[in-house]
Amino acid sequence: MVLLVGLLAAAVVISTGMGYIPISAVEVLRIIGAHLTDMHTLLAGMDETYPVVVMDVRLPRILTAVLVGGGLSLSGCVFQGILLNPLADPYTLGVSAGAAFGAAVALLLNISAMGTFSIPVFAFGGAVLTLVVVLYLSASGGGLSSSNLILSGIIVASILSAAISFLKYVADEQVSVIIFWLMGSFGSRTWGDVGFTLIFVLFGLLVFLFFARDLNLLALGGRSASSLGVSTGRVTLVVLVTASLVTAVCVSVSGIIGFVGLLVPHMMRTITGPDNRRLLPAALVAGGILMLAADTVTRAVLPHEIPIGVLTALIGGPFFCYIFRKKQMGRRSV
Amino acid sequence: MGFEADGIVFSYGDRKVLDGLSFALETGHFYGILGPNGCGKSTLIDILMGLQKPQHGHIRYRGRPLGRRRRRDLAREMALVPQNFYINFPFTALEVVMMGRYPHMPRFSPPAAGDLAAVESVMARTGTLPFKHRYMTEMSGGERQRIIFARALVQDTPVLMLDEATSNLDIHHTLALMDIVAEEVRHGNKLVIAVIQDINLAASYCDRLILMKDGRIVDAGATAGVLTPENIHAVFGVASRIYTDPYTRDLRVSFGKEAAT
Repeated sequence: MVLLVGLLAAAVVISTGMGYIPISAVEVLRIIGAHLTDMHTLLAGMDETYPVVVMDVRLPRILTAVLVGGGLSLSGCVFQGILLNPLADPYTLGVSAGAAFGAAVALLLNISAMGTFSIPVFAFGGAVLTLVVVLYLSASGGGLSSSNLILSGIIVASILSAAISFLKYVADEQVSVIIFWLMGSFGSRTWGDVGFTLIFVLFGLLVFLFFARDLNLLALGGRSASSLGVSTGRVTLVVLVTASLVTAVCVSVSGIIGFVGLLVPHMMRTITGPDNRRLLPAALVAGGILMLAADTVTRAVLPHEIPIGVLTALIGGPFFCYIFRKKQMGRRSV
Repeated sequence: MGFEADGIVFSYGDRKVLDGLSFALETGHFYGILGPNGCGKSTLIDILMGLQKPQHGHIRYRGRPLGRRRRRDLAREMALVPQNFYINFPFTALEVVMMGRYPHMPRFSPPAAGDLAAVESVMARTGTLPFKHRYMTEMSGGERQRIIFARALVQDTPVLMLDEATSNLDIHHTLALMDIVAEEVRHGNKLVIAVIQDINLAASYCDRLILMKDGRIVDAGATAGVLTPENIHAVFGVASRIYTDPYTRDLRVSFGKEAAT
């Protein structure tokens, strides 16, 4: 865990230095130090555009990437734990599709009533509304069974993706904005985005850690978990709503970024084991590192910036196939 | 000081599963619930554990209505060994048995020395120590069943419910686990309620039997009184002879081969 956090800190510093204008790690640390301590002497003898590049352009983007990666991994862990399905992730519940639909509506109508927050608010509304519909559909069969949840999630998600296609068709001039947003990007993020995401990801982490032990018990199935003292229905509801909130916030600041919420929990589970009390914090940090690495590749390494959602899908997709195949072979159900 | 149920009615949708059950279960006894498939045995277990609420009727545990108890408090009172158990995540056997201590541990604290000792001794008793570091996902059905049984024992509750708990086990492990349960009843003054398919197994271990059919109790009471050819025929529709086995001195039921008579 200490190792992971150290790795994350190192990754943040190094990636901040990378880009069109290379800045050394020492200079990055000096700039961050100067801002934290208000000691401007640290900036002496440095190109005066460096602090602007670091503080106003790169750090907000990098920290947003870290938080979104962590948040998506965290929700992935929780969805997998609750749905008792190692292949579940925020998409399975249709939450991402809902958020994307909300954002697409905002983009299409060019709504700016709430300033820069209009897209997050709409995405958020879409995600919550989707969750409510999915929960309503799955609860009508009596109880929140995981197969009901997945089925309802898939149904609602396919309706929503059709609706998004329709919006794209109608959109005309706005279509490129919507498409680019849907593919996911961390470009031009602000400190406002960082703070907004930080609040919700931290809130999610606290809620999930509080219920971490109950989540372990839920892995034994609802009946066993109840017999071991878990108020199954209440815990499921609270944790699902929180996980959807975190997903919605992540999607609203970055667009749809696939596979992180699915892969990171898997990777970490092989290291920490399935105990959520260790898994959740590890997944948060590892998700941050992975997302940052992917974002840095699109931003600083590749000649042209490509949408990060495309990159994670291109790398993550085949990896997912590999895991799925390995699972089918029955060598080990990770 | 066990359970008192009065006029329990429970339905899933339109289908009435339990139809007006009234009974009392006393501590210090090993109850066996017998009946054909789908007669409401597992539902009865769920209701006794407070996992389902009956639509009509009252159920009291230790003189207090069951529905008012908090789940966590109930988890210190009764443990369940479920019939079907599957797990998708690679928890180790030790981790799963330790989960039986959760109801006794504060939410954020690591297991105390007492918890570790309890887990160690129960795993030794159930013969599960040799695979304590193996993954649940890599075990055979029988091994998993024994781990779940150990988890219920480590919960250290006055009431233990077995829902076809030995259905996956070979004869050696079946007898070993039933011996442990019988020992808990005799010396620990526990109340054990077991749904059992094997009538002869029930006859060997249970001192009280409840015979159920179509959501109603056909007969209940001491094993020798309930286990009659008439009752067996009324409940299962098979002919049988009942005798005391000279080898074990237990009651034995042998069944006529022609099922429909």
